Amino acid sequence: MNILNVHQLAFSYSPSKTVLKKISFSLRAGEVFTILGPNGIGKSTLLHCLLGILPVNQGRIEVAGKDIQTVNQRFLAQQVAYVPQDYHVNSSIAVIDYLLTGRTPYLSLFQTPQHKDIMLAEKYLKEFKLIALRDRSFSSLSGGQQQLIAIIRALLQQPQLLILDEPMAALDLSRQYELLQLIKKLNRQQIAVILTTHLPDHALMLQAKVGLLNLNGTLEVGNSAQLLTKEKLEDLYQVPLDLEYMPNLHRYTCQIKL
Amino acid sequence: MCGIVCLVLIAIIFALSCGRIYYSPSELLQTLVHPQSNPVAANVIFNIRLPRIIGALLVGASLAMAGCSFQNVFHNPLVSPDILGVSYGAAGGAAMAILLGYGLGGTQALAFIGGIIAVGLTVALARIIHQKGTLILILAGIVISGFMQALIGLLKYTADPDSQLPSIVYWQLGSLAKVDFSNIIAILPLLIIGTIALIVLRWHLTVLSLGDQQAQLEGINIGLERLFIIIASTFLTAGTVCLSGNVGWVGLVIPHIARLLVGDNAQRTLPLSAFLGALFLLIVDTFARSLSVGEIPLSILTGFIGTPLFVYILIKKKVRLN
Repeated sequence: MNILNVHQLAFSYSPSKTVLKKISFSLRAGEVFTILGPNGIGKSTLLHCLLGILPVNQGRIEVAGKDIQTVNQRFLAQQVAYVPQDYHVNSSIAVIDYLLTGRTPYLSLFQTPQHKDIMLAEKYLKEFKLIALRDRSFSSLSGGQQQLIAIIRALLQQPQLLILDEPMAALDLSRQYELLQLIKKLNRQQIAVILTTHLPDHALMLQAKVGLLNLNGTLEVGNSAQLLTKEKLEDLYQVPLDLEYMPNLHRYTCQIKL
Repeated sequence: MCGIVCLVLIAIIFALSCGRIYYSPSELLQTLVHPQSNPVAANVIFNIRLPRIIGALLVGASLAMAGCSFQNVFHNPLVSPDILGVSYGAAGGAAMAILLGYGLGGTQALAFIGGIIAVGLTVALARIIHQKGTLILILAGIVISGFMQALIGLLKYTADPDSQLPSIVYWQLGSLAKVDFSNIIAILPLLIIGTIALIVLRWHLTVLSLGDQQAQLEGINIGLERLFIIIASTFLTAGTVCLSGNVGWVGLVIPHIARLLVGDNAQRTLPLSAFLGALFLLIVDTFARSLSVGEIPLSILTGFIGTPLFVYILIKKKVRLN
């Protein structure tokens, strides 16, 4: 069974401003899907529709076979986790408490995080070499640290589908490398990943399923060999580009032609 | 937490001892164990000071918990329990009762009804405006509070300046002078319901403090739970206004002190706020009835103490962030 089915999704903020049009795709367990597009095209809007944050005007979205319009919120939270582009938190909550909020879908109304939840959060902190941040205030962390902590929190939801909105934006090269390794690891653990990015190189690195979100609101879906071509990328970003094959990396890289 | 409980116990002993007549700890112990050995002292301690002390503990704890909950659910540290208009609504109800010549019981009942109506109008107004989110609730609360203030102004204008106006003003400034066991028993069910509801939802309060979107994605029904929290906090606030009139600053400042001590997790800040609020108001009320011949209204003292304390907290938080 597909973890995600999207059929003819359409969304507009107002009658005159259609953002997404007739979007259809499916995602299997463990599949990685990179959505590319320039800034402001509607990538985050598409993710918010998939999560049920924004109500779609048309179409149907199913997670684990259930329509997200009618499914129980707690069930959805156990299937799908989201790391937003902006996770500003207006509080001095400690990192460990922030992480434990990711366990909320598994707690009943009367419950608070148990010892096993705390152990799981600490295990992830150690794996990411961030255990020193355990008792620090979340708002005192750097942007990159906050993003990693937000990703760990999403992983603590133990989802079948992880949705990441511009996850590389605040990360330095070493952290980007770690994240890409993590995505490959999740891939092996049969956890599906959707990530948005405005940089074609990220999609070229992952060499997975690709979606190009066009100016007209449609989403072209295919594999990286089909869609990550010079012509299509130039059409998408409206700038001259060059794709160069790197034999030592066994893939192409994308450069702006100045 | 053990430390704060000990402080509360010490404050209770201090409050039982202090007043127009001072009783030493030995006299106090003697009276508590053998009331018949000193009937005058027993009457003062059991019938006058003890209900007032219990009232101070309940009002302080309730306002602090309501403030803590509202600051979480509205993810805004500047919010206090009267943000949705309950205090002005209750003051309006009390003013109306005084004008109509009702006794204390009737005044308390109308104060409670006024508080509930004000919050009901706030929630209804927010729904009529038909926008989601917490900001519209806060704005609706400001509108209804403004309306209630105008109503109170009208009632004060029409009140008899010799017999009724002072009662209305005194009610607005807050006092525990008229608290007795029957008043406490009357509002106790409201306080118990409100407290239990907030304790049950304490973890969800933490999640809600991080924002509506993230809370929804963690599986929380934000609309329904926010409504429960508003109702529970309104029960606490309206119940305390029945007992003591308006007491400002407790619900705003105490949760900040709790957060400074234990961090921003309602699992810890909610119970700590309750104990700190109880301790604070007990000390303030003890001074209010002991410092002078006449009683000083509570809001005057909580204002004079609360405002510099809040400035200190704001400065300390800024330093911590740096």
